[in-house]
Amino acid sequence: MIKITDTTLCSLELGDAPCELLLFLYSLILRTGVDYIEMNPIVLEKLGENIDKSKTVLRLEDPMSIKDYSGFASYICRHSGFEMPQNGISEIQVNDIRELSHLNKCRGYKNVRITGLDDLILHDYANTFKKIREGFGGKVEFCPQNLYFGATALIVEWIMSGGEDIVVSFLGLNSNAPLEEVLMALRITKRYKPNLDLSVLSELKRVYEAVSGERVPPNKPIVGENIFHVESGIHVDGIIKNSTNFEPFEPRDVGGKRKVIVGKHSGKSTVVMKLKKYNISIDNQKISMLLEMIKSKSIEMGRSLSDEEFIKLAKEVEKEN
Amino acid sequence: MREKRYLIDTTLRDGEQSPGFSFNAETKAKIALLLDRAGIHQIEAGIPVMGSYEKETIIKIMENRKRAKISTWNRMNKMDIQASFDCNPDIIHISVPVSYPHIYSMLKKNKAWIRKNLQECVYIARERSYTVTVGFQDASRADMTFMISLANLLKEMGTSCIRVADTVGILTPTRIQQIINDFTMHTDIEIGIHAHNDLGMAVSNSVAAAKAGAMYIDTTLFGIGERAGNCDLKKFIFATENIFDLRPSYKDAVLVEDSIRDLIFPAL
Repeated sequence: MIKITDTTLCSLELGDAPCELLLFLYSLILRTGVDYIEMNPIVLEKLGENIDKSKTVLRLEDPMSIKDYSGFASYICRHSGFEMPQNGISEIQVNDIRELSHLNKCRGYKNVRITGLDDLILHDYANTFKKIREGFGGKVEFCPQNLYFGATALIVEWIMSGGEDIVVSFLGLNSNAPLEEVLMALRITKRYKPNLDLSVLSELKRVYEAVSGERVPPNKPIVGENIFHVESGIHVDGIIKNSTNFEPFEPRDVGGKRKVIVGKHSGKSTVVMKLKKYNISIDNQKISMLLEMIKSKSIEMGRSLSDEEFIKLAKEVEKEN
Repeated sequence: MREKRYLIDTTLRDGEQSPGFSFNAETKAKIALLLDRAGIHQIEAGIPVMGSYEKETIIKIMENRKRAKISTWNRMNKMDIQASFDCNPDIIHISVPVSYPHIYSMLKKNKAWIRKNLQECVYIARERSYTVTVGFQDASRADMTFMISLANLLKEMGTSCIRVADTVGILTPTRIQQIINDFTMHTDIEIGIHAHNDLGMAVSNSVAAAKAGAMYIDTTLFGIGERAGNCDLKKFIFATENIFDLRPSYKDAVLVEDSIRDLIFPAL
């Protein structure tokens, strides 16, 4: 059974973020369908007693301090050679495939998390996964990192090859695989749906931006503001007929909205649709003229037109009717 | 010795096509010039059928280039291809819908219609001795047997290369490897990959395709493109520079991006 641990709260600069906002962030991450949320004692102190310990992985520096924190789902510490309790996870950093031999020293460990392996996507990941699973008796969590932009792909391949335990963070914070990409990729490729409603992702983005003060890039897969904007004639036409022609999932699946933009690459069907939306009536033969005006204006401005700019141009043409 | 792979930059076509971006002739010419001098193999310069402004821009790009091949993008119709003739590009690229959703649901046609029209379009370009490449649009959801049959037909007609387009960005590395392997096993035509980043796997899928034998990799500067974008040129080079013989170098790709960042992003 697939088990997802999210490390977003350990990866964020929390600063002065109010406890209520952090709790909201915590609840939203849980609503995405992850199984466990990882936190450290600093985050734990901020969130207080409001968390569900049975869904919490506690990250500790020293395995000896596990006894001071009871009742958590599990505990994770960097591999140090100290014996871990039954629900303890030893984290082993393997920076790249040249360091795979380090794993030999840890064979026989019950629960491990393998973190790193950024470059595995460039090599024979299928055989490496097999060897990793054969080498350990118990649970193996996989936490690939993203230096070579392969973390999401590696997680998907790990799961497709029979792996079960994975570690992610929202937006790929701390160079992990991005939670939102992994959830959608598993949904599409494996029909894995721990949560049918992923619209929580757009709310999660808003709260993340409030906590971190950072803007999420507009073309960020799954949660970027512009990913459902569409301008080119061929795409607008295809999406009007059936959105699956040019979109892998519906905007509403992730709490997003589609927006048809007019600009240099627009086609006639976009113009007709926009005219209808704004109740502007233009003779059919003049629509081509309006389209040319839109294209010229877009080239001149070096960007697409806003709806207001479109309406202004369309009304000029309407007057000439 | 590292195997050679060839980069096709489509910033000026699929990149610009994404909402918000609109490059004027000077901007497109400058981007093309920098990519050319950096050593890119091919520049997909635009879509001539868009009109005289686009055609003039592509002609200017043709005049300025030193080494890069210049290609134009065309839908599978004669009007598009005739518009490309006006630009006299090195390569005419024709995009053909190959998946059932695109053929039956979007175009409301059938496979026989696709085959016939594709033949006619390739014929008129080959008749004028153009190098022709064909993009299999929405290949990730297409029937492999149909694609192999088209690829063999295209090879017979003198098409140089087919481009496997993951139009909606849903492939995984293993899946793309299987697709490339199937083409390699059953056809004798060079393969390219055109990946989208909807699930954050455009670079990984392009790497997987290149490792499986795809010779041509489509990229864009800053990874711009429809929805979540295309395979990012700089990221692809960074990831694979040690396993493939590629141009431009990572250092030169960084220089190109630094030089045109302000030209591209005021559009946002």
